[in-house]
Amino acid sequence: MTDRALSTTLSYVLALGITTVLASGLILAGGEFVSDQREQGIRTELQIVGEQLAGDLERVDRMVRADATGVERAVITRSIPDTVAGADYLVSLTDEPSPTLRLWTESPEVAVTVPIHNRTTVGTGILTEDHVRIYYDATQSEIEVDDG
Amino acid sequence: MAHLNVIRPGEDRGQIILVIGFMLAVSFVALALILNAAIYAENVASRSDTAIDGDPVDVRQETRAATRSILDYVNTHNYTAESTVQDSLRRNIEEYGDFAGRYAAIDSRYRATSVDSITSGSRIVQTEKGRSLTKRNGTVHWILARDTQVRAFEMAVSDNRSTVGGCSPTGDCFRLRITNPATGDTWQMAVYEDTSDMVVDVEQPGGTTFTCSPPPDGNDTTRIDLAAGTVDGQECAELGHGIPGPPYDIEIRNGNLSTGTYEMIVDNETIANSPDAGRFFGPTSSDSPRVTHAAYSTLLGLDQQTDRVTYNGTIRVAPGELP
Repeated sequence: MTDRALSTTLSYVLALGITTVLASGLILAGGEFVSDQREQGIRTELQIVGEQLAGDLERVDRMVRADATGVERAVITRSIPDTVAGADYLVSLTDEPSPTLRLWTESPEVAVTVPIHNRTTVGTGILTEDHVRIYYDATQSEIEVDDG
Repeated sequence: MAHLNVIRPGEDRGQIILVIGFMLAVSFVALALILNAAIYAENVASRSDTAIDGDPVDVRQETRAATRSILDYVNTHNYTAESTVQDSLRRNIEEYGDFAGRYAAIDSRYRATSVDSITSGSRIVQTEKGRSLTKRNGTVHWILARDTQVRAFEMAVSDNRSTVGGCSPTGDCFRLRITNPATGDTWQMAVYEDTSDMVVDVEQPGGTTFTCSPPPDGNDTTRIDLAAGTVDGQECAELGHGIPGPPYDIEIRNGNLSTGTYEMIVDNETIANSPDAGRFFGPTSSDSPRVTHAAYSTLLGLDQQTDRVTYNGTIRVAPGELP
């Protein structure tokens, strides 16, 4: 009984084909999973950085509210990561329609917005460095941010 | 690669599977690194890094509370000369600032307190509780202070009428009146003993009236704290509402129809510098009513620096200021 239903060559091609299809599926699924998790990681880190910056903004707001006419200088500095999960990101502060911090990466495209609960007017600005300065500008009567 | 072309039974080497397995392993290592970074970031975020030791808002409140106590102390001790009160206030605040600065240094914080300015005033006080609330010379309607602002105004009043009963903010009983001469706004308060207990009636500018009558306690003296808005320690939120803005005149009407004590600090130092003999005894007397030197308010400078926070500000301290 040495006759075989398949020739050796066909058997080999079939084995190779099936293995390749299965393996490709695994790599695609695994790659997708890794990519999803990375985006999730980026989103989480952006959220954390945003919350920390919002916390500092609100802290300066409280300093001003304690006695707006009595504040000459109120500055908080903070170091933030220069990348999140290996991706470069930017932070912007906007006051329309309500004061909000927006943090985003371009590759992959992930964006997070963090609302700010304040009473003192906030300015606008974009942060690109890993050292941030949040301060009260008494001449403009508003809280501003810049790269420290 | 030639060996790939020959497959013998039982000698499959599975190179493709190996390569794929390797790729998947690298992917999952990368995933582990990314997730680890995210977990680390969350961990860092939940640490005390977000809180600030010696928050400037807390430091302001501490400094304000300490200065309030110092003001109370210097205004009730060694008050016979304006310069003594000022020197004492300045020295005590600087001592407090030094102490607080050393304490902050333990936590690696810089904290400095300075006295920027002191506003002198006069403390008008009556301490003989059996005396009527008349002028020194006995006049029943009289002005305690003109064109002034007042703080820490407290009274303990008993009805001295021959017959107790109802009254009103414009009636014939002891009344306190605060008038802004520029606007003509007048706030007035009547204090009297009704059939059951002491009653405080208030009339705001515009004629709105209301009554503060604490639960009867059998005590025929009522303690009124205008700044705190309390009568016999009970909150009466409307008590100080409607008091006109400064400068105003503080006037007593029907001072003979009540007895009691009072204390206030006004932002006019000339009353203590040259007391009107018809109205008050001077700072060296212990008789009532008398006027003594006092500090009305003080402006402090506060500087604070930590590794993340820089704060420079001023604090004005005038506890119990009206309105």
